[in-house]
Amino acid sequence: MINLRRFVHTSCRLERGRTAFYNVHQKVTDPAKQDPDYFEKKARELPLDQNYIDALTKLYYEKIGSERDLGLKAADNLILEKTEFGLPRIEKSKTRAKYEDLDVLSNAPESVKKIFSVEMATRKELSQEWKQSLIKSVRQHSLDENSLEMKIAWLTALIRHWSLLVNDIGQETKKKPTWLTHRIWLVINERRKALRILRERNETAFEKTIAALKISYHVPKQPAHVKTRKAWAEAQLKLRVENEKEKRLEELHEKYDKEVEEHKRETQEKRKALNNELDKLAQEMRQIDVIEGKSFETVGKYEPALISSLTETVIHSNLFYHPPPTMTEK
Amino acid sequence: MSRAVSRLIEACGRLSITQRSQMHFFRPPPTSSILPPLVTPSTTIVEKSIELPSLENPQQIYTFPTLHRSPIVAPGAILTEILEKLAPTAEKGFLIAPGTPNKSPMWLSPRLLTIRRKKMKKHKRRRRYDRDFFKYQKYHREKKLKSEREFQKRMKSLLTELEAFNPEKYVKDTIRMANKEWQDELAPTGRKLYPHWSRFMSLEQLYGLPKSEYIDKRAGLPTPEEAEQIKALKEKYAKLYRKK
Repeated sequence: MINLRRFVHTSCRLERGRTAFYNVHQKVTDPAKQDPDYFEKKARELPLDQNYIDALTKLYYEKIGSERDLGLKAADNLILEKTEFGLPRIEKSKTRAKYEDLDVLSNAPESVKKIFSVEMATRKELSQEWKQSLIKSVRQHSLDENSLEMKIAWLTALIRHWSLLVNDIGQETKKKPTWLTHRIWLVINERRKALRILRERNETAFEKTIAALKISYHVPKQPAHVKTRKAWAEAQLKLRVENEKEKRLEELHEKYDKEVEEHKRETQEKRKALNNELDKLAQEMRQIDVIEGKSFETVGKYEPALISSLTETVIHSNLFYHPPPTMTEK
Repeated sequence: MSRAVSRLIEACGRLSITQRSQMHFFRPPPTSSILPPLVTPSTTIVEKSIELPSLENPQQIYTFPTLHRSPIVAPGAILTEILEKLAPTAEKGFLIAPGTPNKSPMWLSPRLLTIRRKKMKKHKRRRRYDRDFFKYQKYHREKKLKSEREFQKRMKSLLTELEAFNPEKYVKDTIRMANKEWQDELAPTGRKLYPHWSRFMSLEQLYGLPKSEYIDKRAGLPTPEEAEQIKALKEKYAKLYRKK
């Protein structure tokens, strides 16, 4: 009997793969994705309808697919970068670094100078030029050869140069050169470590270095959940639910505040009206008393004889040092 | 040899004439026997017994015509067999088992044995997986589907919770929880709480001491009279119970 199970496949997956396919090597073409929280922000804006879970799933697959390319390029803003790759522009007529100290070239003819200029440099020499330029922009002094800033600049130049090389090789082949991308990963990790150490030691130098080299550094934080689609989607939804609840409570709080203000205003108006009525009634009572002759209306105000009292006191104090017992008894 | 012959003579002596005449035939004589009848002397009395062929084991002897017909004679009697049957002897030789051949043992180091065992386990596992591949795929798919269903259920429960959330009710519940009064009779776990002794009496009452706020520095220390009594009691105890 022929074993038909080998020829008939009832499942759509003909291979032995166990997971649904998503392209982990997809290229990122949107510079906005360089923000580490880009997909989380997008998840926050999704509408809460029947397709919310499916939309989260698609967003997660896009996030995972973009992760590898972003890991290589995001820190140096190399997305959609096709010309310079963050490397500094160097004057073509400048003498190469290896021959800068030669005095003979200062008097040499132009054709000889051109031979030793950057225009005729090989790729290796060009790489050295780029490294020197970046190192000069952040080093502490002219004799600095082993500081963290200098190391970071050197690694940055290496990363960007190799990224340029990957792009050049990518023009000819469909697949990235893995031997080079692996090295780029290692160098990126080394630079991240150096940046962390510099940030811990010297915050000012860290900020200056980042600004000069145009590196986007994000402080890594502990992951809130395991790295799976379900855990990520659930975490996003929980955050969303918490925020929505807080929003509703805030609205209720504002509503209560308005009600309290309204009530206070009404109470004050009532109190004012009642006080006016009370004053009016009191005045009428006084008028009735005056008419009946029980009391009289007071006009003016009593002022004591202040000046004469003071004069008399001063005269007595001049005569006697202590008041006499008779005056004390009075 | 002489011993065997003497024993044979004694045994033949015990046989009767009829048995002796029948000694040449180990089996009953067949009807197609070609042997001539025995000639017995007339002086002796001979008892002939006629034996008919049995139905169970019929004996048949075939004869074919030849130029020189030779008489068919039964083989001679085996003395050892006859003697053993007539008079079995108690003296028997020991039965010696055949010696085992000298086999060389199989030398295999324990590490190699471990390696071979692991390789075999791996091989069997792979064969099992290949054989039951579709079964395992089915289990895997079912597991994935179950997990996905549970995930969807959790997500929908969160959405339902959000839809059913009422801020006013939440605020009222929070206030009610804040205004909750503590129960002295029961512990938080539900266990009944019995009051501590310090709620009912003070330390002086517990120990039967006079109530006063004065703190005596010499409290607990013996007075000179009591010290003398204690010393006497110690000496008495040492005399009675301690080893010298």
